[in-house]
Amino acid sequence: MTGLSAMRAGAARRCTPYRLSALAPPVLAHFLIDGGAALAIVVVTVSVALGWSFLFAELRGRGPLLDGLFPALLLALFAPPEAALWQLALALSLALVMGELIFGGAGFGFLSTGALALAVLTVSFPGMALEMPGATVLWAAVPGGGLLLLSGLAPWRIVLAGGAAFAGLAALFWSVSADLVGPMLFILVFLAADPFGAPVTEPGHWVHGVLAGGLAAVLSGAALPGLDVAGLVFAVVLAGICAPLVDAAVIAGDELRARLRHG
Amino acid sequence: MIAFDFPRNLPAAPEVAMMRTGHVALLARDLPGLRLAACVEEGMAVEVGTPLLRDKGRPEIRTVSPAPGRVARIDKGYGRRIERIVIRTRPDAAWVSPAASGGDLRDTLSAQGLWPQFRTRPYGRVPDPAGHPDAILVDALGGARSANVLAALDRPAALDRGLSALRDLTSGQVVLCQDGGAALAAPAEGLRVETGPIRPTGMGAQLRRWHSVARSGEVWCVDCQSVITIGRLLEERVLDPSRLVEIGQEAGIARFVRTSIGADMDEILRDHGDGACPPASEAPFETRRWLGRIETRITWPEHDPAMPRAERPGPIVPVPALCAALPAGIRTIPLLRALSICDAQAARRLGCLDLIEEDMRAATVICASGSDYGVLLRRVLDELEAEA
Repeated sequence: MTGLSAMRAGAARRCTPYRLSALAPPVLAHFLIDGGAALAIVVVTVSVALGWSFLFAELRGRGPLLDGLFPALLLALFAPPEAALWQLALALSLALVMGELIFGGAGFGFLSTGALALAVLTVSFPGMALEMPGATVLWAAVPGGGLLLLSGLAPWRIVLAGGAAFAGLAALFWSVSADLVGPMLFILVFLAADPFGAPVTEPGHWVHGVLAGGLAAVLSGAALPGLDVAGLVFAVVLAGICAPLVDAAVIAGDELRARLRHG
Repeated sequence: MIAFDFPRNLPAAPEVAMMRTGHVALLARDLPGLRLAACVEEGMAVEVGTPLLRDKGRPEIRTVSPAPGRVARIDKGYGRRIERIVIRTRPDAAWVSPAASGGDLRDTLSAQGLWPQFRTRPYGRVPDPAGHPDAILVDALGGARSANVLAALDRPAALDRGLSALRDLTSGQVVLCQDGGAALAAPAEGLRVETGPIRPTGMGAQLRRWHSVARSGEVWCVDCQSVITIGRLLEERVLDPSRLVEIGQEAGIARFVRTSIGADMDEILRDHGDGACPPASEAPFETRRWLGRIETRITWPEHDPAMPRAERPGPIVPVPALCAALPAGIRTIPLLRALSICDAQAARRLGCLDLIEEDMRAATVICASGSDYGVLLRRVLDELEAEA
């Protein structure tokens, strides 16, 4: 077995370490740029995530502890400067408990917990504008994004279809600029292509990508060619809600084709 | 097993001596779907071809002794069901037996104990001797250096005779399935030879490709060496239950041993100083002592410290490697989810009738959930079989 195929074969078992190490460089870059404020936010979100995970692990007698760190770090990256720490803690708690832990932990729910936390923050506290991480942070996310795409933890079909749908719709009805490439890729790889918040069939990946990218263009159309992060996040959450339906449709389509072929 | 990527381009068949072990055993595990009754008692002398076990419901299905000797013990388990018959062998006696082979082919195969070499798909059972499958798939997988292919190269005439006999059992086609390499037999009326490698390796993928039974129908699978045994029985009128077996680590160099069905693998491995055989507790799958009826390859995956068995139940992480572990055309993740919750109807719609336990090994190794999908699949297949 070559190194790459060994990595792909082991990706399912090393899901949490891979995903956390993919987020580590951008979080470090965030520290270096923002300093103390970023550190306080990360300490709070990580403590909240660990606290809830620990509580549920105790209640259920078993359970992973570190899975909740992924949405915690994502929230820290996108947190607007005007957000109070308690607001972040509340949004993360709601998303973690309602989107993941009551289902049995990461991988048993049906939504991208990171996107859900960001959406909850925007909905709960009107007027709070999510902040896209700066260019340095986005560049620091390149190796992690590559790791997720190569290992298969982020389905490349979603990223490709999502990018194409967003660019196509935005160019057709609004306008696009090259500045959108980095943020859009970050959103697609780390939020839309969440292995636990996306369909699990290959045709489903294409549909999910088109849905997420298209909705992103529609919901953030007014701000284009600027960036409306909340619109992108809601697009991901809406597409994620449709993911089980997309999978069911793909399976029903398979069945119909087989029935037509075999009579 | 998972992946066999080591080079198999050495052409010539190796010279292998026959290994006669001190004990052989027939296992009930190798006779799925049969209710077994013993034809012998402890202490009785047996020859090659002496009937040992028969099915209570269909007494014409029986297995015969693969070696001469004396019945050492008949192990019974829960509900006094027979689990295995162990025979203390006589190495000096003849390990083949002359056999009459005139008359009806089905009667001959049943009488010589070769019927249980067939397996049905769906469900993976010993087929009904009166059944007519839609096709018969012959397993010559494993690449050009596998035991099946080397055995076939050794006895091409017996393979041809066996394949032509199989054509009498089915109204459809006989498909000889190979993983690359030159064709072992010439295609003929009713016989197809498919040499193209299909991923993942295994009869599940071949079945899915050539004759899926996911919606309806029945196909029988049989391994290439059993076909050679059938060919020799019909051609040379001799019952030779020995098999060529490949022993080796997955990434290491394999070696070959010719031995009988049910041979004592402990003895074979010990005699050759294969100290690498891991203790049972560390082995990823059950480490077993006796060679199975249709086994031709004994491997134990190399210990990968980074890939331990999952300690706790985890989620099914949908990664491409996991999706590729099941045959093409099967939606892997939805099927694994259906199996995890024992949703038999959903699993049937997703094509689980094409699969049996052995096809689920790669998925079990790759998946983080810690479930043994072979066990889960069997539970679902049993439920579907009871409904059918």
